[in-house]
Amino acid sequence: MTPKEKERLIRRIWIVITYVVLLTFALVYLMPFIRSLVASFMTWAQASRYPPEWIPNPFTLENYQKLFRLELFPRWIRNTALYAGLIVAGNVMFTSMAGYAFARLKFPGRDVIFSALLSLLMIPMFVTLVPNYIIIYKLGLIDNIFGLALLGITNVSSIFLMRQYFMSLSNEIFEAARLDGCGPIKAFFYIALPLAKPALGAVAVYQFLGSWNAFIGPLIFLRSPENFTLPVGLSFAFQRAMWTEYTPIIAGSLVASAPTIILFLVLNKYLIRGIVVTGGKG
Amino acid sequence: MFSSFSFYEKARNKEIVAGLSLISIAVILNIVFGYFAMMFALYLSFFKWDYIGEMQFVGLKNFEIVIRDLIRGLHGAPYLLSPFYTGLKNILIYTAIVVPVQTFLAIVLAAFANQKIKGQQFFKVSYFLPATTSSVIVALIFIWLFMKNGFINFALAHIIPGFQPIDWINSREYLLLAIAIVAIWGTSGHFMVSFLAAMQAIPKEIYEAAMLDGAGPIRRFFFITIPMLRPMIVYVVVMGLIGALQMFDLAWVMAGANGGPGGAGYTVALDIYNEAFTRIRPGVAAAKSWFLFAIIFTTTYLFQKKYGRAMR
Amino acid sequence: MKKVLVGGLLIFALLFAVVASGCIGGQTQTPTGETKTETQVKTETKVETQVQEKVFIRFAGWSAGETEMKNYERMIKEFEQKNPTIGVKYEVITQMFHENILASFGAGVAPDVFYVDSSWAPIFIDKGALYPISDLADQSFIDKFYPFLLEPFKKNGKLYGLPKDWSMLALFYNKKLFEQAGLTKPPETWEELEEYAKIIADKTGKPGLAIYLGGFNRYVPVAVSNGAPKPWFEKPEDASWFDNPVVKETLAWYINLYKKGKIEREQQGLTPYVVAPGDVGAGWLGDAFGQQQVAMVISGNWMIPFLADQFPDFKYGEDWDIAPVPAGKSGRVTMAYTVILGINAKSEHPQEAWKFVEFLLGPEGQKELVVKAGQTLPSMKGFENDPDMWPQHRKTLSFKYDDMIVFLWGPKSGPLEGKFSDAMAAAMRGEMTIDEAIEVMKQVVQEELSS
Repeated sequence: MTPKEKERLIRRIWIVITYVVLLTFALVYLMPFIRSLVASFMTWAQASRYPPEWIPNPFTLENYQKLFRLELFPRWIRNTALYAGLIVAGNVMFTSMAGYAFARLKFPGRDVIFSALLSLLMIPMFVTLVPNYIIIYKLGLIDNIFGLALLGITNVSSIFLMRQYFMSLSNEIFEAARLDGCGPIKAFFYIALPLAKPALGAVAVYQFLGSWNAFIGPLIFLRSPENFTLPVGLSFAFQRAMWTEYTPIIAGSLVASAPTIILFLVLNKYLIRGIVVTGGKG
Repeated sequence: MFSSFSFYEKARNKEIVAGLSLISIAVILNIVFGYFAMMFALYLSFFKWDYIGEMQFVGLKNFEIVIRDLIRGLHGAPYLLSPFYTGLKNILIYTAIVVPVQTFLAIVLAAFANQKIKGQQFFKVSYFLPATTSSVIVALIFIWLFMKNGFINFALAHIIPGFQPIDWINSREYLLLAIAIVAIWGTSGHFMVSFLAAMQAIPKEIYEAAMLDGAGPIRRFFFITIPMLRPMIVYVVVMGLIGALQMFDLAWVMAGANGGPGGAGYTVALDIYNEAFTRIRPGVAAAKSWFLFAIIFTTTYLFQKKYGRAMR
Repeated sequence: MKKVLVGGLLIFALLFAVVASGCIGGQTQTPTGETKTETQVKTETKVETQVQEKVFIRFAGWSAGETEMKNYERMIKEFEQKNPTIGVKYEVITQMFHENILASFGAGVAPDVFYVDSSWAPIFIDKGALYPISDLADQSFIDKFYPFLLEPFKKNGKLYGLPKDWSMLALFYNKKLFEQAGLTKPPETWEELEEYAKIIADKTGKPGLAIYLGGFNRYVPVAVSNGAPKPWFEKPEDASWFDNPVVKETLAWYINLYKKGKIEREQQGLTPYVVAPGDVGAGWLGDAFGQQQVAMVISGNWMIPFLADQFPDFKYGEDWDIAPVPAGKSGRVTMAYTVILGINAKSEHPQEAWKFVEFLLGPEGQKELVVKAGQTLPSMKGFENDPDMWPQHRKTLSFKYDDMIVFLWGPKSGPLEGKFSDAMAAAMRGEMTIDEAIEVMKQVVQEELSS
């Protein structure tokens, strides 16, 4: 065997190993989804049988019909989309501004303020419940998607991510702009923001996922079923005090996760590129 | 924090004004919804309150309750009499399992998915899929999969010969592990994306040079990829620590508010919740929150002191 | 990260300074209440000038899905038509209901009318959160309700809430499995229950009985039907309930049901005759019974809509039936679970709120919201033979009991129930001896009620 053949052989073995590992993990990660998908066409009596059955018998669309029979289901989707939209828009706008300022502008107290913001990540949510309740109520925004969104439009981890990204951009562009007489705010809108598309994409995807799936916040601050978001609505429709209707919840969560999956498929390149620079430079 | 108006007068250059005005919205909203709440929690931790009546000043008594709980737990009291200690013990074990495993798994998955092979996109999406779902609903589905007659036991029985079905959710030994498995399943894909990004930022030249020196893929992984990923590893570990130490929703759904059999799934966050709303002692809940804050702060601080910074 | 530390310290310093100067107290505490009532008054006067003296009340409940919500909305509409000066805003909190209500009390914005589960009622009553219903209602109206359901909500001669509906425990048994085992009737006494469970396990290979690991409230009927007093824990000394010889004996029997029926049987290589739902791969008792994994469970009326909905092929009358809870040496006792409609003591409109409560709880409301819905039992007497009532529910109502115990063990019912159950479960699994479990339960009572 010549060294070249040997190398080719090693390479081939390596590819086989890679595929085996990748496929095994894909199976593990996808199995709950596959199992859920199959079960969503079963009755609970069959889905709970042991050993697990794979072919729905009787095949039933009842679980999905139960979802779409809910008059409020379309509204919940709309509400969730509105909430996610507000959160994404708010984060993209405000955290890019803040991230840019923390990364590229010098002003007194900058690093202390930034560090103080980061420490907010460590506060358990239940202590913030009553005070935030008071504030939201005073603003007249209880049971209001906009009020709920107000709590999350300047997420600290988004600010962090944006700041890391802006720090990774090269100095020269900003220096050149400054020499051209471009002020810091102008530089933000005309130079920094267009360059920040990947990071904005990452912030958008992460915030979309978080808000689309948020449960405790909507549960506490929304009060009318017609204002619910999907996760709260599903729990409202299928969780009783004593028991849970599993199969429709499974069907519902599959329907609910469809947009997030599609979004990831479309945006995953952006997402990865957005973090490339932020993470790489640390 | 600072009134921008008085600053405007004193401002020597535009940059200060611009900086402060750009951060203003984010800072104001975080002051209102973050620091106001924090201050309220601090204030509350010196008071006895039942939500309905007046607050009563009790000094450091709430903190004393927490410390007494810890001491009692250290002396081996049953978990019902030392809930905070139990929660703390569990969450530390949980964190010790989840953070290393999810970080390691995320790196491995990223390394494999980063190879130039067919179907790369499919694998990336499959691994990320769990991160796109709601943790509360995921936990509900996993209860069903973890049942004694459930799918997970079925699968394990086929893989491991002589495997006896485990009643995961109702067992003292396995409940915390089951919760940890769900957490790892749900978050490793999320962090995989971070590592993928960091890997793509590693200059190709370094690898090429190593290949000329005859370094195989495994050696390249350990001697180039891992060191180059260090800042990202620190970031992922820190974020993982913050998330794991505050874990609530998975335990709340899978173990229940009381923490399941023998308190096996009881966490500090569950205990804070129970103090606030089951035992109606929001002051004690606030005091416990400060303990938790201190723990998260010190662990992340110590970790970064040892392995370098993620947050700079 | 050093900077984070500095930042954190800075915040701490700042907070301490503010607290020391006492200005947070000024900001968050008293004015919260004042300004809030101000804003409330303001909005109301605004409303009053627009619509003539129309008063809005807020009504919060959890909900059993969309059907129940629609029933309520229909009733609210009807109420508003009858009372044009009152508007009702219906709010649904699907999970963590009482936690949410407490938080809204904390923020000073609790709804005017809200559900209170019996086990939470003492907290709300003791803290003065509920308006005494007896000051608003006619005695004749109150007399229409089952009297035992009202007892727990009385304090110092006043009644603080009226139940909206209730459920009770009964024995659900699988007729086919009974037939296979050669049994012709359901067990009459606790001894028979265990005996039958054994026979069924031996003859059919399926466990005879499923119980929860723990489940203090399911054990209480055993104790009381054998002559123990009702458990009530108000002061630390009440822990002595566990010293009662009947309690000790019955608790040991109940814990041993599982120890002997499951653990020892399996060690002998036999089919267990008592199991927990998880042992047969079920989420709860109803699920184990519906899947026909076990022949008997003692559970409540909530089983009935669940079985009808999730196991439509498993039919009442043909496949399964209901019997009274087994009797003890001194009679037959069951548990009752109820939810009251409470009126906020701080409500600005208690009269209007009462009008609404009276409408929901009156015969018309009971018929629409409870009897026809088929989820629970009506709290008002007189529906026992209503043709709209599901036959399964009607049968549970026909059983004769010497005592009905409402799920309530004093001001700390919730935490006590949870912790008692945990201790019992530990003993059932054999992690503690029964005496150790009793000792822990006594300590829990002393701990929870000491301050």
